[in-house]
Amino acid sequence: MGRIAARLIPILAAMTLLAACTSTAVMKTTNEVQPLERDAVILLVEPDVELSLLKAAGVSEVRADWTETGKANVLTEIETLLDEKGHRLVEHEIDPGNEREVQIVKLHEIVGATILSHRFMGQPLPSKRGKFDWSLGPGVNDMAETHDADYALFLHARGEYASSGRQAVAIGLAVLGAGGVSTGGQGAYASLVDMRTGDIIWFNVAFTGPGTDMREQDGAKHLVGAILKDIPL
Amino acid sequence: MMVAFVRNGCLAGLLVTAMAGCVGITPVTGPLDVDGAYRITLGETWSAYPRDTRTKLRNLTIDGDALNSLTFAASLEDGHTLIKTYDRERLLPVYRSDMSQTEVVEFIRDSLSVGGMADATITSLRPEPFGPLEGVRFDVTGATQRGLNMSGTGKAAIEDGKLHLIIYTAPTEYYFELHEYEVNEILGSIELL
Amino acid sequence: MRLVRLMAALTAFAVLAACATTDVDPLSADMRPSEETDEAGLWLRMDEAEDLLQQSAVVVRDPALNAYLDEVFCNVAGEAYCDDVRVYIVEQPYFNANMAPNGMMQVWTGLLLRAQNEAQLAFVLGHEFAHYRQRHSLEQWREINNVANASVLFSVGVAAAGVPNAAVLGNFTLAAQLYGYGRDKEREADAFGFDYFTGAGYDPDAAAGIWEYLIDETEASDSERKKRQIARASIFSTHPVTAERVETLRRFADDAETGRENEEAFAAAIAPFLNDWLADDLVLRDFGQHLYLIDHKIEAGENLGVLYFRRGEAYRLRREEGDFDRALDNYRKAVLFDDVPAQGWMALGDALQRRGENAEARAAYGKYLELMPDAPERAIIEAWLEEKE
Repeated sequence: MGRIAARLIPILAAMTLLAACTSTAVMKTTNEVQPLERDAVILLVEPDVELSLLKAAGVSEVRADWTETGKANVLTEIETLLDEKGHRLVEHEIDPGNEREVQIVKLHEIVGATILSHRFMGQPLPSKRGKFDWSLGPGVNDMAETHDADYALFLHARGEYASSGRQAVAIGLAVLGAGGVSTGGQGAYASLVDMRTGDIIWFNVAFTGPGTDMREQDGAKHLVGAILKDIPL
Repeated sequence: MMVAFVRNGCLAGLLVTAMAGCVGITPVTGPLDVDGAYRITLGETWSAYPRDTRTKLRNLTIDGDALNSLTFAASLEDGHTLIKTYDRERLLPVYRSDMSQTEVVEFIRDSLSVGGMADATITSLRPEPFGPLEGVRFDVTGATQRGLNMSGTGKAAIEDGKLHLIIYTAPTEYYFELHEYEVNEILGSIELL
Repeated sequence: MRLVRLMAALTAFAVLAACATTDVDPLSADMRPSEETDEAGLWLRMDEAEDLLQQSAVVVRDPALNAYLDEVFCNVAGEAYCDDVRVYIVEQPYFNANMAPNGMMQVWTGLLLRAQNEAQLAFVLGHEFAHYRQRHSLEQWREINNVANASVLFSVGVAAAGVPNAAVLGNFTLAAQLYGYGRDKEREADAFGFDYFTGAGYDPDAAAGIWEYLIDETEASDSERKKRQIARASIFSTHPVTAERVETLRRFADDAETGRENEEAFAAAIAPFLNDWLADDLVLRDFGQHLYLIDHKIEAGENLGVLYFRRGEAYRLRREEGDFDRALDNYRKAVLFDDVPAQGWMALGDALQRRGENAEARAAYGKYLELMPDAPERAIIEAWLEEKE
């Protein structure tokens, strides 16, 4: 899920990572949001996590074992963080037979890519000036009903970890004066959807440098802390 | 290998759009003249991409071009194609000045297919004035290759063998209806210049 | 320049060297790679591509057609491997089939449209199954990594560019394009594929036959480039077909026992889709190749209502001297057959209207609206009927 936008993550990471440390870019809806009168039930919609080995030539190879570990670590951290705030997280698998849900997820893919390319990448749309009002529409109600959910959280995360060969290339090139060879890093974007309206009320893009690692619980904690920064919950 | 290839392509694409973005996306509202041939009137503020010199298509959007896209062209001549390709030898759907209304809509549908719309299907065609011209109104459904359902509507007319057309497409889920009223108003506002 | 040539030579050498060291054992039935391997990574990525494919708008979901392809696949691969491979029918007008390492196989409708019998389909399925069983994707992946050379990536990229439309297809198809294999692997897949499909009792001539037909059809193309590609033996970049490969398959067939073609079963399975798939093919606007295909099918003598109608459509869009008359002739023939699609009447009406034969046009339109009460063109037709009242 979310692969169009997810494919942008490594590029964005490469661009941001020149600065190396953790960075986030929180965006909030300009629409009016009705306050919630109770602790929230939040659907976590099939988090899309993929961890790869970045090889010497710059080829990245997906690692099934790392992906599984990373995903589990990230889930635990999100759950802990939201639990501390008194909210309940419900993991939600998309049923491929549920046409409406599939459409909502695919719509979110496109909306996410649109936000990344027009807000984060700095190619603003004049028609959106002063507004952040992207929405998935009231069709999300169907998805909310099963769990009586108040919000849906969509998460896409990518991690790339350099092989020792890759690190050698980076250092070698740095010596030659050519910077900008990525030695990996972690990037993610997430959005929070208000299930009453379908509005994306909060959107964040976060990157953490090569020093952090979501394959480890601490690294996952660091990334999740960055990605859920300022979440209005 | 797949990743590396896709990523390079993507990066190049982004750079191109980023550069295009710097020169091009402008706000438009109110009356808009299309290549000196006809005028439409926009109710809301749209973002306009620069007119493509090859296809002569001009694209407007409100929420992002994957979420709503209003495409115009005016005075297209016999032999014109709506598809932008750097492959000069590529065989493509071509406009012919002797096309019937049904054939014009077929040409638009096939161009949408070649442009990447899966299952592009015309669900309705009906006569509808294009300003003072006899025009044809059509509705289309399809999907992105990844399976997001799309809806569209539009209008076309031939004036002295030259084709004018307006096509609106948006995801069926939420976005098509979001601006449907505005689009219908625009399609009703056509005046010849 | 000398440096470039030297680099090319070194690359070629490195590729050869890599081939020698990346050989892997065939997959046994029901086997999955263990988690920490590069192979598991390839599978994971392809599992995701497969999820996407399942939800995409281009998969043909018709149960009968899917059951038919599954049955042919199982005949060829044998019961043990029957469930390891999932065959997806993808609505794309190009001649193509491909195999991902995790067992996701794609057969494009442009291939089904051009195969002439079940035996030809069976050979293609056997060939693709051989790629799977011999783990060619994994070998290829390791070769690329061993060489770690941009020129290899580039050649892989070029393979993808060979199929038109690659840019607009979702990344599941792009991924498939990138799994184009080198000649050695194609030869190996031919040899295994041939054994599998003849072992299942199919006609050995079908293996060379499908390529021979395709080369003939391509020679009729309007595209100069496609014709040049035949000369360069690379019509299908993902499956480079060389004269040598076709000859080898011919020679295999000479030494093999005769088998069944199952032409009728195949024709019956694809008949319901013929009109749609030919319409998809016509969108490509290669009239030469398209008409060659239709003529070839008309000679076989089945589905004539559909085929005459589609031939009329091709002439109408081509618009060469005399094409409107040819189109009308074909529409007139088409409506004589029970299997003519309802659109045949609409097309006949339009063609007659163009000639000013309004009374006859009126009758054809009447028939169309009777067959298709919800026809999308109803308002247009009714407006015309009223005007000519």
